[in-house]
Amino acid sequence: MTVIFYLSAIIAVAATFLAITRTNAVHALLYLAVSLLAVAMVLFTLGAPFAAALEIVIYAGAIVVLFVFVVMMLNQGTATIRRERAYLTPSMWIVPGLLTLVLFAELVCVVAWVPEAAGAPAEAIGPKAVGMALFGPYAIAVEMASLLLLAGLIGAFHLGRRDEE
Amino acid sequence: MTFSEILVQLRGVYPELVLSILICAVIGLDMLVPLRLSRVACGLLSLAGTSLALLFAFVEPGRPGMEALTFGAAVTHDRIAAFFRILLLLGASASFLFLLRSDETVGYRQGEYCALILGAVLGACFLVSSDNLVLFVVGLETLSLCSYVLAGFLKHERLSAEASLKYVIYGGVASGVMLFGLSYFYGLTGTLSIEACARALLALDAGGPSMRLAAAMILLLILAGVGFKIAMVPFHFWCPDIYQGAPTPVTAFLAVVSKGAGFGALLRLLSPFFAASTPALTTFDVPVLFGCLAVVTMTFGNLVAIRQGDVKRLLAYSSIAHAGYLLLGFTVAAPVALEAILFYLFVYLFMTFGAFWVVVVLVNRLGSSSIDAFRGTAAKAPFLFAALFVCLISLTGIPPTAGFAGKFMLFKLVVGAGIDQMAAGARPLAAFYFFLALAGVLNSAISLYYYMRIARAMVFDKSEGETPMGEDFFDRAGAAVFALPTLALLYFTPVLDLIRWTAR
Repeated sequence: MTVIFYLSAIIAVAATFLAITRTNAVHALLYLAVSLLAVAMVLFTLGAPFAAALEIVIYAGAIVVLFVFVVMMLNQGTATIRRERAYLTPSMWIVPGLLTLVLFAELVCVVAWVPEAAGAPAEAIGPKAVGMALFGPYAIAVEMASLLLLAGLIGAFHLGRRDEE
Repeated sequence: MTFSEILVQLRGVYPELVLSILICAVIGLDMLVPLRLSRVACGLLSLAGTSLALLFAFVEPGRPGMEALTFGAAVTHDRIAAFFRILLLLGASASFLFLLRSDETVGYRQGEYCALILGAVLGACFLVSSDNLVLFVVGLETLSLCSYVLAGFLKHERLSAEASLKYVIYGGVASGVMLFGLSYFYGLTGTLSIEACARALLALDAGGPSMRLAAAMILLLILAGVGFKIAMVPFHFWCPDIYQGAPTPVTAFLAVVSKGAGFGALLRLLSPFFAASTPALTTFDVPVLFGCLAVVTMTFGNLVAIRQGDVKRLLAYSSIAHAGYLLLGFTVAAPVALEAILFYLFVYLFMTFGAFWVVVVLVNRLGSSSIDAFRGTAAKAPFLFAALFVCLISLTGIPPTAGFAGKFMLFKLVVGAGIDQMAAGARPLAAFYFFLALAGVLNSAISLYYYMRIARAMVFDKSEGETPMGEDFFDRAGAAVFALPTLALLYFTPVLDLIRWTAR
């Protein structure tokens, strides 16, 4: 488990580094997705499978898709479509693919035979425990987070709306 | 926690509850009224609601049984929290007065403006009353997020949009750095309780060389996040651009409420380090660190302010310098120190708002905030000029204003600490304290120069052509609301009682 933890952590740091040094937004997003998957793996090895699942569903899933949408909306026209094809050349996929392959191998290892091995966390925190914590000691923080989102929504609404008159 | 238990716990956070309901109410109201009435309707509703929250914040702390309503140790009802709630809500109410007067935001719907100010204050209230680092961070982020949008509220103006973008980037980095420190803290100590924060850091410090380094690093990383909010050197770079680019009412809000919340957070996190019984960290002495930061902050702010040609930018550097004066209070471990800091914050609220009020009116009439545009306006608006003058000499720290009393308390505190150290035989430390006091006095002398530059331009310089300057009843009334306390706060016993009660 410890080896897998450090391996995922290294992948996360490397992928994030590559993400912020790419000059091309689509390439950066590809590495960002890898980085988020690696973080999910880290969470899994730490005994937080629920948080790992959320990391994949929300961050690697929804948020990266949103980013891609924005990139697509900013680049329109036939010239950019041709350029976009050039973004994702096969050679572009090699490094992210390799990193993801390592993560996948880790996942197979963990699911297949590691849970009983030495060094595994004492207990995994499941969805029920997370829910109990959210509506117990963290109830007010959860409510406050919802108001934070509301404030974000109001701000986005103001900046995005068309002017009257 | 069951639903009914949560309902019971909500009785502990009435002011915050009022603010949350108000956010929704003001957005709803804005949908019903036409654009030209938007400012008056939303501004008045927010002002009334915030006043109600302020009333709760005054009355609540004395109620029996409040100590139990902590949401499972997430919020605290100690005196510092009670004091800062009052201070922040007072600042918020004043911000709505600014909104009602300023013409800068006209043409936009004001429901969002009010909602964002309310959201920022709500975040700030939880920031200063949290007892759990999760709530602390969420409160801080709410305050920051609302401030980012407010700074760029005039989205079609280049300076405002630029200010907002800069604020987002600097703020994001500062939050990230602080969260990095907090994650180390949680990883090493396994606690999220703020009450145990200082104790846990000291326990880390006693645990060998590597732990000692970790404790020092955690403290510095947290300081980066909070230092950004209070505009302390070297985390001040955002301050001048954002103060200049943001609409003036927002600038006033940032200068008072956001900074006040930052100081509240600093006191909340680090106050145990200022207790006499707390041993010093082995890597560095926290009070000495704050002493050095205070001198650097005030000297930098004052020296750069001298050369500014824009009043909002000048007041930005002046607000950096005032963060420096306030940090002087953090160098001494005594209840008196807390008293001096709280009093200064209270005075700072009135004198800063007073100065910004006059700037708001001048910008309304002249359309510019450069000192050159203010030439010769004193004769046409004598009452406003008098109010501004009072606030400026109070900011400098000249008697008989409350600003003088505030600075006097801070400097006396530092000199007293120096004399105590001298008596205890710690000569280098005594010399350090005397140096701090000397630096404070010299800095006040420097600040006199640039504050008086504004006054001189308004009185002695001749304006080119006709200035469309004048003053009406509301201009005068607002100026009086802020300038009179600046003159007489020192003699107003309820405030002094509140501060003594908090510091005891």
